[in-house]
Amino acid sequence: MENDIGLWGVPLAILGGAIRVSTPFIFVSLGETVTERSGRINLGLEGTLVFGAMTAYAAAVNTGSAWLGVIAAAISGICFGLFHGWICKFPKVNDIAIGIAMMLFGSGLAFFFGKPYIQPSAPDLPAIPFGFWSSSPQLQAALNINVLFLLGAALAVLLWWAFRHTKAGLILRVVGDSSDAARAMGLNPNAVRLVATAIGGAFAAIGGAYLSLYYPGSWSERISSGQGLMAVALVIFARWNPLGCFAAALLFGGAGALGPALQSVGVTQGYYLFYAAPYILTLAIMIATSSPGRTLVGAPGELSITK
Amino acid sequence: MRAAQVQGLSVGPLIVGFTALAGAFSGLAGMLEVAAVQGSANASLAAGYGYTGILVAFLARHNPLAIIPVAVFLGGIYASGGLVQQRMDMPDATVLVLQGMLFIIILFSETFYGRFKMFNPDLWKRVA
Repeated sequence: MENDIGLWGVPLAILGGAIRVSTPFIFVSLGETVTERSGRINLGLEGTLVFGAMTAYAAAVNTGSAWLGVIAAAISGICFGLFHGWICKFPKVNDIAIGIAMMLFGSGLAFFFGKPYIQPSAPDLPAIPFGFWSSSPQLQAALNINVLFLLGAALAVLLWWAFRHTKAGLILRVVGDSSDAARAMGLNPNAVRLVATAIGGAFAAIGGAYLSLYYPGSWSERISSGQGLMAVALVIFARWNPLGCFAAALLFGGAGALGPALQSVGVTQGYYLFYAAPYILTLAIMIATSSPGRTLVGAPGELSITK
Repeated sequence: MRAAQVQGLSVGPLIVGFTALAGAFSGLAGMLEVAAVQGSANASLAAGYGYTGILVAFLARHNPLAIIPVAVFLGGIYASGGLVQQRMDMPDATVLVLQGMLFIIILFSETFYGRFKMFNPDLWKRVA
């Protein structure tokens, strides 16, 4: 029995951290992908995430079931998405500005209603111990994977497939690439975008439910450290590809776990700097893969940030 | 952008320069917050002023002079949070909700611009 695994603890901790931290990123960036593929940007997903976390926690405390909490969060996310989609339907309304306003509104509302839920404890979401074959406790901890992570992975594959091979995916992409072409086909772009924004809101709120019901597993006003906004950036990083979103979220989560991992093996010098590692990594890859001569590959044509 | 290029302006460096200038301004805002309001650098600095600032610019319709009243107004709402908490026995997040609703409603009103007679700037010119 060797319990001291030395430097091998670093990659293990990064793997475990990537799986643990990345789940909200996966859900929010998948939701944002659906929304942005329809030609609209929803920056308010940060607010939806925080409100979803609060709703999930409140519902789980009151009903005693973590899954009812997730469902309640999804419903609240749909409401936020519908609201955003409905407002942005009107002409001259700037979806980026409304998104930031929704972000403040959503987190404000969550803090307003969430005050009584800071104290009580809610049931946690179940996790599946995939590390049962190993005797190393570190490996077992790293492979203790939450159900929502697996759900997010399945969702990424499903969305990737649906964008290419289903009629709904085709409609979404047409609306996102050219409203005029969609209208000529007899589609209603506003209705499609409304549905896409609602779905995006639901995904983001489920990401929030993961935050409050599994990791860190309690509701507080500091529960989100900008995951919602970072996930929006990850979508651009992943070039609007659901599988890319999954990979980007894992990479981001893994880079975020670098700091604590190094700290645990005794590197104490400047580990605060490693907390900035995911952001530096994302920026560096973004700069390396972009070029001033052309627009981003795979960007939906109707998106107001790329137009 | 095409028009500026035709005029012979170096668009790329100008964009980078103005973005740097904007960064300088927000850095200055952070300096003021540390030097004049908090007195020291601590965690309560991250109060979301940056996002509110973006919305202030939108509410002022990107007019630098209009930014001053809008910013003072929103700062007043923000500062009233403590008072709301003490006098009316409501959580301090009330001001966040109020700010959010205010932003959404005002930004939503953009759609009325030019749609009703009341919002037509020419009408007010004739009255004045």
